[in-house]
Amino acid sequence: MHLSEGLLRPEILIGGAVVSAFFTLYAFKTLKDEDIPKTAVLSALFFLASFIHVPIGPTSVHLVLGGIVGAMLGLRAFIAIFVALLLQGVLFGFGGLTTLGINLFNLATPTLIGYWLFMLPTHKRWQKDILWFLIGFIPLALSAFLLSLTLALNGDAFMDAAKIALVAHLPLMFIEGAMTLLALRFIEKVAPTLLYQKEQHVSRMAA
Amino acid sequence: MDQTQTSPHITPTTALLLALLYSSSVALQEHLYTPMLLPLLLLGWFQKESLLSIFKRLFFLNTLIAIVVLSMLWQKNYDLALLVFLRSNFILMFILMLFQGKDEFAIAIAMHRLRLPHKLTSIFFFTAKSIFLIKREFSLFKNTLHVRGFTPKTNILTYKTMAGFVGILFIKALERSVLLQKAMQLRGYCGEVYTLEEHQAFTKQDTLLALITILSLLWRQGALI
Amino acid sequence: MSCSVNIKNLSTSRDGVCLYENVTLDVSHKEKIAIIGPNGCGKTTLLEIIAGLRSQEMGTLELFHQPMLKLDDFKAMRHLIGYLFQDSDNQFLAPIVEDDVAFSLLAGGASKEEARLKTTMILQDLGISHLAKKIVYHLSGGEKKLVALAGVLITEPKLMLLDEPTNGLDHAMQLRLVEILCKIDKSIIIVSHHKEFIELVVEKIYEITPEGLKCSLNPKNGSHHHHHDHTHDHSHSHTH
Repeated sequence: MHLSEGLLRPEILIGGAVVSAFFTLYAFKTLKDEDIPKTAVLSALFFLASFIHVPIGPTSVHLVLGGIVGAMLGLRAFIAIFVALLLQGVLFGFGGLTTLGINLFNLATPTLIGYWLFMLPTHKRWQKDILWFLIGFIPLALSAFLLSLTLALNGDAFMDAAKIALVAHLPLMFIEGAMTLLALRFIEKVAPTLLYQKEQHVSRMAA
Repeated sequence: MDQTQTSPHITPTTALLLALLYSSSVALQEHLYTPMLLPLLLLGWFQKESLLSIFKRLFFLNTLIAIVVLSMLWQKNYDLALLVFLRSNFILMFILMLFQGKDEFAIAIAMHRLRLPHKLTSIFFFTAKSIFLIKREFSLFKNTLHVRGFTPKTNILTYKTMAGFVGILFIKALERSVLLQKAMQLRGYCGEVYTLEEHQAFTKQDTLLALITILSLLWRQGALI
Repeated sequence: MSCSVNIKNLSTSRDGVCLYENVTLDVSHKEKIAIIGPNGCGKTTLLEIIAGLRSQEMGTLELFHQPMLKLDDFKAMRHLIGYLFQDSDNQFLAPIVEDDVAFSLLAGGASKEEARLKTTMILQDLGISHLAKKIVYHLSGGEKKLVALAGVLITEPKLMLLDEPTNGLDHAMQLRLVEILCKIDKSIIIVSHHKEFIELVVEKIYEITPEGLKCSLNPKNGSHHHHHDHTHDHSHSHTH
């Protein structure tokens, strides 16, 4: 899910950094003190999601949980994911410092869709289920697409790798969707006020 | 004993600055030179006890790099394949060896030392705290599953169990955020987390590594590619 | 008589269910009391109302004779109130012990010099100077509790609110906490269901019931008091 150091051309690295810096700085300027705790804990959760390995056949994939983090944070997800990626980059070597901008763009922008989906009104159980599945599925699919696009734009020599990367992410999209759906259902069952608070908060933000 | 320095040699502040310098310089090169190996050798010597685990990690981090390099070899684009492979692994080795033994708290303190905006450093401090606390809940849950004889397989039970786990993590995290909010309110937080002293004093090793790193990036002799 | 806390006819509910009604409580200056009751009866909720973390539904609350009408009123009182969380991990804001202990002081605008001096003193008083440079989260439960306490005491609050302070502490650490709390010359409200512990510390014990608070004098209070009157002035004397 993260592009490694040393793969990409300067234009892409710099372009990614500039666009991400713009979004992140904007999110920062509008961040209020009372938003800090939630941003920080969800940043920690995003950071730790890479440790949650879900078995699939003979191998396993790790979760990303970007959609659900985005659903709860909106634009502030840029800050949360920025902090998480920086820590992952230096502490584990996932991604890195020069690729921080482009990785942040690829991972954080799609989570805004998670936020938008979470805000959509639902009336029936099945509508909610589909929406919740998509909160996991779409941001991850879009991130995978952006990652492949980044590789493809990096030069003809990267084209094959771009295709392989996209195909390799296919199963993860469904797993992420299913896990997001089941996790949200679990939260709804065990602590509905937390989810409800979120919706209230979201609608207040939107107003 | 100052525990803010979890690694014996390089302070996190220096590590962050040098990582930024080395990775951004090397990542933008079209040619690599032998002296770029010098800081890696020095770091390797500093970290000689943990080299095995560092190389293990390096191996797993090469998945995407391997896909890219193999597809280039397939296209008979040998020079680019070598360049990408070396560039990536130089930077990865530099970062892995540099931050070996350092934790999220060390990075948060370093961010504060670098005098970044208080709002940002506050988030780093609170994220580090949350990582520590959530990680603890994480291992508790894993142990519980282990004790109950649960082995993850590709089936609906596994997925449901793991989704429940993700749900619990979210619930606990959101509860923690409410409590953090309360602590900030009660203790009079007004935009900053303070430090009494400049933790993480610079060491001789910091100076040495900084000099070698800068030298290695300027000394363009002995092209590797 | 000077009072730290006056509560009149307070009622609270949680998730639509009434926890208690007509709670009336006066805590006089330097008085130590405990509030007991079964799990989930709203002990912590009451503490949070006094600390201004949530608002009550009915009734009045005065702190140091100032009526607290809205949550903003508590801001002016913040430095007079010290609050100790049940789980110390939730209390900490800075990762290093000395920074966390100094936090409220620095946030209140004290100079680093002053904060350094006071931090050194309070860590010495509590016998935890050796922990000054450690990461708080790596400490044992007892050590964490003492660090959290130091962080509360450093602003010299007049009223301390302690939520289940003995939770997760071993017996030796509980006794150490008793010793420290008995020496503290402030109003203290302890919420706990640990009877042996509170009987060693407080003068009055209130039990939460759905109808309100039921007060009883601490049976062991007398002997405990005598013992401490030798070392302190007669601040604990029974005025009512």
